[in-house]
Amino acid sequence: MTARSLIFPLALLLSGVRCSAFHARILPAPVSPVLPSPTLKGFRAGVGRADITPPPGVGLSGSGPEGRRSVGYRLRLYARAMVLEDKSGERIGFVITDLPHMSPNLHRLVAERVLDSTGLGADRLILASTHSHSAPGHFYAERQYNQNTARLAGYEPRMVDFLVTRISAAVLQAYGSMAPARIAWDTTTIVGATRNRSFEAHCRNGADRADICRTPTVEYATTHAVDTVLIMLRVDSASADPAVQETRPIGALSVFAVHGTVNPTTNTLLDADVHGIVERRLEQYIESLWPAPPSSSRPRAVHLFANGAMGDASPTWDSTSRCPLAAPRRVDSLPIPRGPRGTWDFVDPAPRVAEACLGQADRDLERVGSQISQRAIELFKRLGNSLKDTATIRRAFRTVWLPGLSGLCSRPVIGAGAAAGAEDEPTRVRGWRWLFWPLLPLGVEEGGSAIQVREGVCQSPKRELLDPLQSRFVVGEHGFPETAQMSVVRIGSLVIATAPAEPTTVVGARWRREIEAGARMAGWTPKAIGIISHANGFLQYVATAEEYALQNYEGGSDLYGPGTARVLGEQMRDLARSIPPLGGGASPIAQVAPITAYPGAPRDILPIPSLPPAGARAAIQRVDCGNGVVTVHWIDAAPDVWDISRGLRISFEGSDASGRPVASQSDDDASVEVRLDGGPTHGMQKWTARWRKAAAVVAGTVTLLRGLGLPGDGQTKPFACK
Amino acid sequence: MAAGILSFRIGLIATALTIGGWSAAQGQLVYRADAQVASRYLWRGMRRTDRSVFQSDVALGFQRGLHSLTAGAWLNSELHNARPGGVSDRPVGHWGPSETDLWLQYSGGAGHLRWSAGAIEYRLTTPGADPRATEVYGEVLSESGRWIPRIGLWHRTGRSGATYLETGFSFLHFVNPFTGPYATWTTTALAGLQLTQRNTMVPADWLPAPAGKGLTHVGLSSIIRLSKSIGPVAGLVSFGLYLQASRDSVLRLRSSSAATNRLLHLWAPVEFGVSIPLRRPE
Repeated sequence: MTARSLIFPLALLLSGVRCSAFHARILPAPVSPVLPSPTLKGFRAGVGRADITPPPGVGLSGSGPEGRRSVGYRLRLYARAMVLEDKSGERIGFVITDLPHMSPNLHRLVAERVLDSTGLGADRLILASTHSHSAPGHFYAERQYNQNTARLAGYEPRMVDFLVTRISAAVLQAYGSMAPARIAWDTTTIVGATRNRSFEAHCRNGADRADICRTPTVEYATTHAVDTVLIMLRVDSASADPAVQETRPIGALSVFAVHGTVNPTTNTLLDADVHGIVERRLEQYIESLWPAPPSSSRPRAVHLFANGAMGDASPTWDSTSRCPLAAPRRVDSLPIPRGPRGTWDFVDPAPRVAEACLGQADRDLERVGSQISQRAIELFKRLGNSLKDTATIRRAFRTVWLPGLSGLCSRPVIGAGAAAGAEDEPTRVRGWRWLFWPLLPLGVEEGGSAIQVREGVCQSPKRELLDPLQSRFVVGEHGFPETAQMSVVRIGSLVIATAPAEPTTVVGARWRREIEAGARMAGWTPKAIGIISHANGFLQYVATAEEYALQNYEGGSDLYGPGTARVLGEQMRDLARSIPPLGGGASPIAQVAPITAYPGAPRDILPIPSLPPAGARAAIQRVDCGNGVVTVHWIDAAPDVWDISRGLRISFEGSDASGRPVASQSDDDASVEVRLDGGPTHGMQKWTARWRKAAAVVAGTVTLLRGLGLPGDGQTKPFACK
Repeated sequence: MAAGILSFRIGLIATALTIGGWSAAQGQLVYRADAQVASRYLWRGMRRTDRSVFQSDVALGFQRGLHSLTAGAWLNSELHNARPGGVSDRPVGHWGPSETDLWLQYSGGAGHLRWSAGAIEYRLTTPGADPRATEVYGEVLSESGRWIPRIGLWHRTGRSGATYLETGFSFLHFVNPFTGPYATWTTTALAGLQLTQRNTMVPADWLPAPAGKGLTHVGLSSIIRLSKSIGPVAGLVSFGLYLQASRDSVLRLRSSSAATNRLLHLWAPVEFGVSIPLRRPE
């Protein structure tokens, strides 16, 4: 009996878990009208927003086995939408969601939902995620992502319905609010908020990064070995009368490369991470310029903060924000001297350890978020001087079938290096080099044994994770994505390209060169090119062939082999080339090919609330205040799918020793955490909200703004601090 | 020596009672029950039976964090009639219960270390064997990664006074990091030592053990264990290989002679059963 045959039962086990039925479903292919009706109203724009915060209990996706089950929320998650239309009637819709990834499951279904009302089909709708790792999954078209992007696995059709409905509402609001507008765009540089977490692989790119990689100071080098450019498109509403120059800002679309991973994997709260800070700070600035009256129905200003070529770009969190990982421990429910030997499992560190890490992460969120926000606000102000309404919009879109595409491998494969996690987001098995020394290397590390050179094998030098079991037993057919929806959009002289992936810094730079080359072939020249990652789908990482050779986390996660970056770059070049020059014709015909989703078996993950007793009321039970923290305990109904996203629920108002108001916060602020604390008991749930950073507060009131379908709205309770 | 052992026992009991009182005051009530069928019953390098057995246990205790105080019982029952010349704790032609153990144990931990200490009473149901024997014991292991060393010491109370030490080193090849069932693959090297020779002439304090002193056996096992939730219980399966070199691989209940067999055995142990409470609910 060989060691290899010993792992066969293990493979059977894993296959039983992973190879659930495919549950194949053909997604719609909604195509926009070829020639939208000219409106002759000039440039128009509208913005919208919808809360997409699900109830606690869902998995926090993006960190694989380290992604916790959520127990509450902090910065609420939103879908922010912006619809732009030029004088010819050409239209494009951007939606940036505070989600970990995007999926054609959402993109196609939202496009289908809004097509008739807005003319935005899949080819004119760019639906992207910020890549917050503190946001829910369970909506993917691909089975592997429903199974393995968080600790809590499963495909939840109600999550899909929830997100599609809410995102569609944001798009419809944006479309419905369209009005004459002026736009301006420019760039700024932000150094120090991000760093390259895969610096050695980055420096494999030779001439591309020679200047940075020779720098002797590691901190300087890593913080410059990322895409430090923030591109912003500012949108102001304008008078229909061209003679009136006054405008009012309604929003902005920004692209900046930064992982949504300031929160460590120990976090258990749904949260928009650093993107949520940047989004809100600019929105608050815009609102301060043009405060809306309380009765106003106009949409609030939005800042769509899209992610860029961020595959290897991490926020500059402090290392003390990272907690020890789960480690193997005996997990007998009760240790006994006789009976079955102990079972082993990964066990998380103690909660008090996590508290310390989360405290540092909180400070990092503020620091990194403030740095990016400050630069974004400065740029936004500057753009107010160059607003115009003459820009034209053109877009090119195609659906690419990936397996077997020339230059790509015939089947997607995950590498052993990917299982190690990134340097800044390691998994619990990082460093597990051997399954059985020296016969069965596992290669769960970056580089080293994750490299397996094999002559004539397309994926070489990637060591396939759990080779040879992965494709046959663990992933199965259609477990990974097989299509890529790609688009290039030109707005005036600004180009926004989208990729359903996480390109590394150098991949982003090379794609921009390809787009520029394609544009020149078509007779036009872009002045700036932004790459929106995590758009319209998710293929995991795309690394350059040089980076791929090192098989770090990013290379190990590149599913279709070392040629992926080049092939997708060529697709972008072709898309750019298909766009006519300024003053030329209309947008090219889009290729919206059918996509089949294989999400796996559905599972109830979102809560199914029990009915509260007759006459039940939401009620504040008690408020504690001390050490700069105000904590309110209240009972409320258990949430259904839609409840949390319906609006704010709790607010705090505090005054200082002299009785002056010093602050007020609600449950959509980084300093307020809401948790489900227990239950449900007889249909009722215990809730807790903590208002941190209330050091100056000596007294105040808590208001329950909204019960979960129960009476009790508006009740207040005073508190005094010890 | 005897006085030292006595104070050790008193200390152990006092410790157990102190911690037990603390656990009872601050801990939560916990329980556990297991039932499994095993392909054979091996004990300290000795074959108690070569054929399948049913083993079950129940335990009740107080637990707070890593600390627990547990009382429980364990039963071994042979599932086949003992054959002439076969290895069995039962008389030829009989099957059924052969051993019932009762124990009281304190378990604790700090950092990477986990320990347990307690007293266990063996009740052998085989005709001809003394019905009871008691040991006090202590075990320590380190959970500091994939390599897990452990050491345990068992001391027989009463006039027999034998002390047995077992030490092992395990390597975790695999622990399922994903959702789904527990899945572990562990290889363990272990060695047993009889530190003091048991007094086989003390009939009132009889307990199976190899004769003489020194190394009793060394073993190398490679076992895969799977556990998956099935309704309200967890289903358990384990299988693998076990290679053992021993001085005395067969327990001879009726003959406590010093007969020594230097034997090398390769087994493929299989166990399956159920356990409550439910494990790994996600």
